Amino acid sequence: MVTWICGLPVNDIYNMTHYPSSKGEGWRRVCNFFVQTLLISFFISFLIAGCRPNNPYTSVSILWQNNKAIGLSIPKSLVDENSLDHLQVRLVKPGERFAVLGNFTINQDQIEFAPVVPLTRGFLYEVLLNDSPLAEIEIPVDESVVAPEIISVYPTQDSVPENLLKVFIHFSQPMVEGQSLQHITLLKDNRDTLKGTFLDLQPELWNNESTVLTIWLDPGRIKRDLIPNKEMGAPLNAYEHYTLHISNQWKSKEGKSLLAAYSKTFAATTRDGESPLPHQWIIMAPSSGTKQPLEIDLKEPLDYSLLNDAIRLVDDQQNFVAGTIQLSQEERRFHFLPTKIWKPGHYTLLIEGRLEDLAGNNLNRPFDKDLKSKAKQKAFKEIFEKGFDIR
Amino acid sequence: MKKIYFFFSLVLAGVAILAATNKSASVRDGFVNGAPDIKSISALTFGSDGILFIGDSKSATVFAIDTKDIEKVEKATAIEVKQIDQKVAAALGTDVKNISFQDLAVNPLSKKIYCAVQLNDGTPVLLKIEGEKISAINLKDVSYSSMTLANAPAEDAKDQRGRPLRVSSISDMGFSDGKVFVSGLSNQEFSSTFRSIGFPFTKQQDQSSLEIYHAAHSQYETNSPIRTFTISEINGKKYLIASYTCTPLVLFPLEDLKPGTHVKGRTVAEMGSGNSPIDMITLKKGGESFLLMANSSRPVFKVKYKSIEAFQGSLTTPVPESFATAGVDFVSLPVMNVLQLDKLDDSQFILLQRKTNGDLDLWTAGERYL
Repeated sequence: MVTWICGLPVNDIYNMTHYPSSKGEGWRRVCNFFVQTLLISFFISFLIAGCRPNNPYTSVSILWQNNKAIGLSIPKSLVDENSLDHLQVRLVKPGERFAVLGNFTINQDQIEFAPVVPLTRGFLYEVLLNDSPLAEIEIPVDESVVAPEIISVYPTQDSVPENLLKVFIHFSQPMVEGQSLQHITLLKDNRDTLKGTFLDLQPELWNNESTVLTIWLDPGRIKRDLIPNKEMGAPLNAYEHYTLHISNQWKSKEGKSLLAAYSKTFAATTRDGESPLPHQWIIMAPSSGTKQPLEIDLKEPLDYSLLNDAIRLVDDQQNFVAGTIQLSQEERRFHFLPTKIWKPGHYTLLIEGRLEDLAGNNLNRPFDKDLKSKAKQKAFKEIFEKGFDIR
Repeated sequence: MKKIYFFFSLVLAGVAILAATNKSASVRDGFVNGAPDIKSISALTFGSDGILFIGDSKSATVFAIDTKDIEKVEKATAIEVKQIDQKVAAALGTDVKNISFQDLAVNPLSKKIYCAVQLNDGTPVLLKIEGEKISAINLKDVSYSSMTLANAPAEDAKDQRGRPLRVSSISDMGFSDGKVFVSGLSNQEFSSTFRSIGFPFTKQQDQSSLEIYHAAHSQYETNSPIRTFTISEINGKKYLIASYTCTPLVLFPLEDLKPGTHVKGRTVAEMGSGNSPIDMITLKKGGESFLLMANSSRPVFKVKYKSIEAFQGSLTTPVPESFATAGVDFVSLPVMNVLQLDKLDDSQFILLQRKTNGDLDLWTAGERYL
């Protein structure tokens, strides 16, 4: 086996330093010992230098915070602190260099470069002093980052009204925003890609954690008699089959693509133009002294997000009852799991008027109201109440 | 006599100094120095005296930033930056695939362009663009004040559960007559909120929260979220001119927008289908005013204010033909794929446009387009 040092095999180096035999065997052994010791020491120090991280006192190093490269640290031994104005960090691309915006500050033995935004993983940067390269440093790619996944898509039913208004997508990690329509497509009969189905909203509707995205089917096409509706018809048509496809090219904020693409097939049913009716809900009251869930049969699937947010429970003293919410039977059934055991008494569900069904009809008004309809106009209510007893 | 003149001069100088001090103090009332906790930049708009408002959807907050950029310029210099996305990405030390442009705003005093960019990891950045020079605004040490877009007081009173705020996305912002106007979209229910917030911000939330209906064509009335708006004068009265997800242009008298009221707007134009309005501005040429509107899948529209003033009706009948538009006449300018639009000065505007070759360019258009 030949070991390589500085591009030359060790044997060649040895041969280059080999003395002629005429000086005698003893002298030859001394020389050999000296050369071998020198080579081994050189080799060991080379290995050590190669394995340990850059010495912060002699070389440029990366400053990390929350797994992001928030800056570079340059030892004062490399730069005179009066030369701050002559320092520059540049992004290195094949054949090109670009000055990076940021500030240099002095911090004890280091000069720190804080870029406006964290340096990008996988990218190469160079530090220059008076336009001469001082160091080059690559921000390592984080191999430990896990690929994001789609946890669920709401509504969960495999049949939805043809005037379905919203779809919610839950991801396991914060995702890159502003690109949803590049990754989401709707296919009809698993063949034709439908265009203009979803509304291009910028900024997109994400939760604060960037893990839940709300997308709207184009309301202009759902609203009866508006031009988009007349030109292109509703986005979905009753009795047709559709597939929602989400590409695996969608990346998390950490830069990792989805673990797998996602597909959900569903059928459209007839238009739903009626408001949900809480007075028709069936409440299955638990027994007092237990922590059984309170169950409500909603009679139809309702909006997943609003079900989790627009219904509260108060006791007969108007105190809010603490607990958690679960949904089942494809958002047709609402479960309230109390934190404490139920006490006997009268309870009231407070249901906000903004609660919607899958077609955007809320408790106060349908999604689009027929002004010529002779149906009696309901009084607007911010809160709808529904009482029950626990015995 | 000289003494009297001297005394008067002193008084006048004192009044002038006091007036100047008061003006400065009143606009920046409540400002503090530090690092505002800006989580995202969804919308930008300038107030008076170099104050830049930043709409932060993630924290449901409007920040007022003192840019100290108050040197007055009457006529702006036209700007053209080709491949601005490449240049911004390079200045941030990253790739163009890692950034997206959120909004542009021109300081009406200095005519300098401010631009909000977001990285894929969510980091917001505020940049200033002067010709080809791109610089970052340091938001870690700045004079600022802020206002959280809390729920309407009535909602808070009922809600003791500390639930998240209802506004989840700021779709547009504007400033007029000492008030910041904010339109917001919910990620839950299908509705929009429109708030007017007194500035300088005070501890007491002086804001309106309105749901706006528009009577659409024919017999159906719907409640729809505002995408973009501007405040302007029509027939001597201040109006909110709003455009919606399905592109009707709707007028609301500002004086009618009161807390807790449901206001029906007057639809004056139906600007076409399959389209979402992006930005609206008002420009002037030869004493005539024009409304310009950028769109997601239509060219930039130009509407004469004279036509809006003359149109007294409301669109309540269906548009007779498919692919037709109705109401106030408008002209399509030969400019497509405009992502952002803002007023540079009275007769010039800037556009962030995706060109047919894929380049993203920032350029200036002038009176030729009016």
